[in-house]
Amino acid sequence: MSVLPTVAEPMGSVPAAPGRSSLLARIWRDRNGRIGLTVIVLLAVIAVLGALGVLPHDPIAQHPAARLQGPSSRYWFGTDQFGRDIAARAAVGIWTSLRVAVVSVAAAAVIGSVLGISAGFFGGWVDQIVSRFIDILFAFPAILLALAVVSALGNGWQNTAIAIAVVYTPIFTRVSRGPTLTVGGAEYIKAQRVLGTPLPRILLRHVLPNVSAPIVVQVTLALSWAILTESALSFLGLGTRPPTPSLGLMVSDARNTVATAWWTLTFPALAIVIAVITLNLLGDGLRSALDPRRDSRP
Amino acid sequence: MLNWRWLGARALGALITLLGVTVVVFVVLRTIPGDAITASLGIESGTLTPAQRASLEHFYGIDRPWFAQLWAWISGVAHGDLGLSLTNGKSVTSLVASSLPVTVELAVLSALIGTAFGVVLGVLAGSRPGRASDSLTQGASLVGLAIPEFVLGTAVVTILAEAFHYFPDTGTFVPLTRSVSGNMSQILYPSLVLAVAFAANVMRTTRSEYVEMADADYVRTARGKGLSPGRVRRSHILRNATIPIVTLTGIQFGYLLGGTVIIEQIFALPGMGRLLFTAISNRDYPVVQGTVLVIAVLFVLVNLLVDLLYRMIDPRTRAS
Amino acid sequence: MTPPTPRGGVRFRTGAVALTATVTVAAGLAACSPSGSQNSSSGGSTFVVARTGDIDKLDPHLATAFQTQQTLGLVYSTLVKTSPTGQIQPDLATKWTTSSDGKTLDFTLRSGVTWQDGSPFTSKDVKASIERILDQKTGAVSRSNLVAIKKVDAPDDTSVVLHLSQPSASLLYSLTTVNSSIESAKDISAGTVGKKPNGTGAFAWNAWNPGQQVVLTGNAKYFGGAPKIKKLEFRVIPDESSILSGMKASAFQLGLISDPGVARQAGKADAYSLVKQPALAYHVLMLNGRKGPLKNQQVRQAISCAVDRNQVMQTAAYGDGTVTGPITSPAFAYSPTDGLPCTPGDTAKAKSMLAAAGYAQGFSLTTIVETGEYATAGAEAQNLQSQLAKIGVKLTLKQLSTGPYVSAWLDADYDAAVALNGGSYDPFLMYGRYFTSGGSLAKPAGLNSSTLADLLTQGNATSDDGKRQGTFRNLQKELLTESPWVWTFRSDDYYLVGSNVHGFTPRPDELLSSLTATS
Repeated sequence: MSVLPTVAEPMGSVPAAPGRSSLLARIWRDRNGRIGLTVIVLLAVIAVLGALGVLPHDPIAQHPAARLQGPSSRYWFGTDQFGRDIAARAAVGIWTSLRVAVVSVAAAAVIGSVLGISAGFFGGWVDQIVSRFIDILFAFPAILLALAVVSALGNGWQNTAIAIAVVYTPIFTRVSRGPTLTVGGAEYIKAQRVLGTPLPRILLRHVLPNVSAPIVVQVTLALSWAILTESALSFLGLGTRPPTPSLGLMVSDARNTVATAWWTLTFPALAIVIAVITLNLLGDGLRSALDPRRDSRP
Repeated sequence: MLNWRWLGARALGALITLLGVTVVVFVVLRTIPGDAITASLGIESGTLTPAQRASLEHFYGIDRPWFAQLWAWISGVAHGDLGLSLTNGKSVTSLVASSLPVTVELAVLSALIGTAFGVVLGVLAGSRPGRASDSLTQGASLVGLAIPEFVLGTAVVTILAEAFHYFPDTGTFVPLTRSVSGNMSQILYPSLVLAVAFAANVMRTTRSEYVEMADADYVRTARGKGLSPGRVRRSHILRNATIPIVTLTGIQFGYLLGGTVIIEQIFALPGMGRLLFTAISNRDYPVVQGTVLVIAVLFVLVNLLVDLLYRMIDPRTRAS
Repeated sequence: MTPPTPRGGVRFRTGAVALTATVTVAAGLAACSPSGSQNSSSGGSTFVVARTGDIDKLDPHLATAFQTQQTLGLVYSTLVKTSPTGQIQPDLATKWTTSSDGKTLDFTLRSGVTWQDGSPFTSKDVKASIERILDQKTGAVSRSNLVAIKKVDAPDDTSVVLHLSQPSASLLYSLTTVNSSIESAKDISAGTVGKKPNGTGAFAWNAWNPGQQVVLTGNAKYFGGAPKIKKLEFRVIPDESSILSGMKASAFQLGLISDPGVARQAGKADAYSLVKQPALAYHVLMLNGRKGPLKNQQVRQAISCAVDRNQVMQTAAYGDGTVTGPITSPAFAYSPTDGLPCTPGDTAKAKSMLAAAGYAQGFSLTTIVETGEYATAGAEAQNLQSQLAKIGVKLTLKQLSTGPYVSAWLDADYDAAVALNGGSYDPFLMYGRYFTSGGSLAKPAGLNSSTLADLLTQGNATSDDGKRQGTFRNLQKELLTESPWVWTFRSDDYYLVGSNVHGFTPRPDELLSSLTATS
């Protein structure tokens, strides 16, 4: 698979609990965050419009008489080999791709963080087991994981999401384990444990807030890789189930028509590029918003 | 210098990881519908009589319970025998041995190119944050991250053919040791394609580290002491930014070892990704198992190496 | 929406390429006189054929993968072979006669033929080969097509007699396939078949680098005359777009393409010409007539009537191909719709037929679609889905990779299946296994019909062309009336032929026999 996931830099030692001003406002203060936030809202609106079916054309209806037409006032982005409107398909494609990305990353983030926090907090054999398990997942070629999931369960966006979630879970575990180790060793946590504060309370009130920052940043980056991974899986024939469009499927299908009908590839590819860039910018914004050293900076 | 206890613990951990990967592959492969017989005969497998099917299952060695197969395989591996391919009868060791250099070279070369470009551009952007050169580099790196690899790969192949009537050599793989130019005519372009996303990631990390470090107290102190900007950059900033860059390079490199399949397909390179992909479609269990094991070994080794590098760069990590 | 086609692996046609197949082996010069050009493209160097998949085994009796048949077909010969239009022609046998009761076949063999290892070819080799195919333990692919053979005699070195349990016109066609290749008796008894190919064909085995290339060398002693190509290399280029790019850069002499989208991009170029050849294989929507509403003949007819075949071909294959009925052999060309009570694509009629059958509200069909094997599967499925939606029949597409698809297909675990099934020059070989009682693929056929079974048996029992034409015409009509499946089109195979290559002619059965005469 094409995507190179990277673990975002762990930030500082122990990030401070979120500040007073709201997260959105803090993101807005960062230039990249501002751009990211604006475009992601725009994309979300387009996606929702597509999903609600309020766009001028049906993304699935075929018009064989209007096959492979270039962009025009009727078909803004042209039509594909079935005479389907590419603009409508791209809108729904954004919806599908974002949905795959959100679902897979949410699953990976929750499972991965629970594992990572448990490993870091309890240490000992829990840490040993979790770490070994995560090492195994890491060392397992992503392509095989994806192929296995899709072969066993069949195509469909849910299964694509499961495959991507499995690939990204270990990253979240690794990102959350480190900070938890540091927090878990802190005096006030030790004190809480001695005082007999219930475990769930310690974890939720004291540990989670302190490790959430790196996880949140990781989420936006993982979302952008998930979009790329979805397109890579589509290239290998393991993507969303047609006729539902996804950006990856549209691009990989159009790879062979690009020389004779450039619009079939250009618009969905552009949507992928914009989505990935936007999520990265949003990640930049989040990182600086959550950076504990930020307030001390000029 | 080296802590042998630490190394021993790491080796044991690595061994457990590899065993785990082996077992998982085994179970996963056998849960996927279809086997070597359906993969090789397709619908013709429907014409087999039960007796024929039984004899084929015996031939492929898939008639025994999976744990017996697993045990047989592991004891084979212990003796350095990875088994025989179910589809072409060649030894898995020889198949892996011929495809391993391709993938490793592809990964190493793209990592080198990617790191070099990434660090240089990152420093360039980070030393003048907010300027036009910074925005331009950042923009380029974002685009580099965002283009799907298969689009970039196909575009490169098509443009080379259309504009220059050039097609990367797809004949028998030429090792670097035999002919540098022969080898480069096969590996260079695919490595460049892979290097794009690699460089983009390294660039972004380098830049942010650089910007952060430039603000750090000790760097200000160094400047205050009147050290030249070049000296500060070399001895303080870059040195401290090395750890995150090494981490990132290590992780990306590890992923590349198992993630070159698309580029190998497009450039028709006989590497591990393609070997694995084909073997999965053919339900060629021994080849899948062998390839995954080797990829996992490489991955573990790269991680070990990264950790060793840490300990050399930053003595403080030795304590933990 | 062509699904991506990363064919790293072996490509076989769902359906039958293999077995029934068609096929000849290394054609002799007797078949077609070469263009006589002196300009050798390869000039003694290697002639490179680029294709997406690799061979998977070296035993022609077990070969189902399409690339394997293509390759071994050049190394081995058969008793008889077919012309590109499907006529039976001499190969290792120069003459053959059928007894009046049709139960004895007498072959006279070519003399002076040698194996590539140097030993002489005799009738013992033929006897040993056929007996090997018939032996259950071999697992030979063409066994089910040759079971009519009771006994093989080799009275002298140049004659072979086959004794049949019943007359079978398809038997000669079965003998032309790569799966019926003649292997050397010596290799068979030594158990070395499948280790290093040793045939009597135009090209001799040289080397195999799995996943990368197969190298053959011209057999100077070939009985049909030494081929002009001295060294022939099949190279695996998994991505068809890359094959096209390679042809543009003159990296290969011949490029084999199956994706209509890639072929459309090929356009015109100086470095190559694009040759389209309609294949015998056919694209089809198979219905499971043993399930739910599909048990009703009128419902199946309504579905068949609702499908505009041309539209499927236009959208999925950019118009390349031929709309076809069940029988695809050029020798038995009949109307593709005669037998249907409508003009296909007549939605209103189809809708009323569905209403008359009691399904005015329509219904859903779980439809399996194979991914990764051939380029047009997903596109066909989507167009069929869109067309059938107009009469209220909802196709729920289930995309499966090859392994799971084949399993589901064999178990008939579907309501409908989008498939590309292999064709044959002989109609009995195409449909006998589906629609005769006890046919090996009766389950996925989805329908039992004694009328179909009788027509198939009748057509196979005679070698009289007039009678066969009449019977098979009725067979096609009956198949369309029963509508067990919806036949759509035969696709084109695409050959990118380097501009300095001479004498290459593609065949409907997709074999590359003409490489023997190519330079």
